[in-house]
Amino acid sequence: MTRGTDDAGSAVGSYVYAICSAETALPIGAQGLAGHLRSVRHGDLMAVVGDAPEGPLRPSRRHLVAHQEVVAALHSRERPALPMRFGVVFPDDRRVRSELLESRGGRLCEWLERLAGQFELHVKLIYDPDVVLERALASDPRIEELRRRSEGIEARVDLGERVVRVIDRLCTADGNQVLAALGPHATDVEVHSLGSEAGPFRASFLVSDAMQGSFDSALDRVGHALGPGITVKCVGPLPPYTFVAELD
Amino acid sequence: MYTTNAAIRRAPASSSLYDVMDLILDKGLVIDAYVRVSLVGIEILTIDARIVVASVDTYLRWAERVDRLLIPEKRDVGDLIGAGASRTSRNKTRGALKGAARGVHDVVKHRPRRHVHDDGLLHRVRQSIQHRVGRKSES
Repeated sequence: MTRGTDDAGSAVGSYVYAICSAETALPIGAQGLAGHLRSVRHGDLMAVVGDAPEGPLRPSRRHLVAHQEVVAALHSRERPALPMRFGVVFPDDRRVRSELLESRGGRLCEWLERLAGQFELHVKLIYDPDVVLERALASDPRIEELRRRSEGIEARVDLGERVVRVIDRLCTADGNQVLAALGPHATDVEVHSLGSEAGPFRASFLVSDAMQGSFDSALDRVGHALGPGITVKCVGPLPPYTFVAELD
Repeated sequence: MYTTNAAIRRAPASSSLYDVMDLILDKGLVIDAYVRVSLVGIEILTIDARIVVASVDTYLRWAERVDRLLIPEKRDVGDLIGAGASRTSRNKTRGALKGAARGVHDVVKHRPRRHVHDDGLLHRVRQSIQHRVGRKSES
């Protein structure tokens, strides 16, 4: 891969991957969506950009992987990177500097400072359907009763709906248990789903270097406390996607 | 029958794009105006209509799973979908029921053949959906 210099012009637009401190080195080995990676600097800040791909920018697997690889390579403990959401394109590098680094520089510097030495961990629960169904049957005798007279499509749908509702309740309780166990070991947390709204428990935790060990132990403990048929999956360390927000 | 042991799986981000896809698409720094220009949208209405069918299908499959668990001789019902994928979309379903009512009929018509367990079921599912959608709209 080739390293670009500041402010190459581009007919297709400047795709922005991340914002980091001006001393950060461009990653070696990470291919962007198109063209070379280059830096756009202003004061202490640097935006890592590349050409936007020709044609429509689709969230294809190849594009998503390319985005994630660049951002991940830029984020380190010593020098955090603020990940951009997939798909942010400016008309050119000059506008990246003026509209992102200059006019919103204060916010960006604050975030870089706050996120130094921290990373995101994405935790989710995965269920064995048979085990969760057994729990549902054990906790709600009415399911068996409904099944005995579940003739006809309406009754079948009602039975299934009841099962799903009971499972939601159980999963939400599991979600709360994980949240209570891991929350104290994280700087910040955002729950994507507690257990019923959008599927099984999913949450992002912002964890500092200093807390990593205790977070890990808490993860082990709660994994065992949850019991059989439930897998706790922890993905990361990730750049802190969830802990930056929309810039006004 | 609790046979599976508790498990903790740790995965580096590079090995699980699927898990972090939502974060890359929905989180991260953004300046609103630019995203609107550059991201290709998905037709939300189409998706909602499909979710309604997915939901009834999910309920029926869970009902089947209950049978399978309680009546061992019925174990050859066929493979069932996993809990995660089907349940993820379910809650939106309730909201979508009303709005998507008109689209449902067409979607059902285009359901893949493998969902048709016997010649009468498709018809009955369709009736059931229409009935339930109607019932939701009244409330």
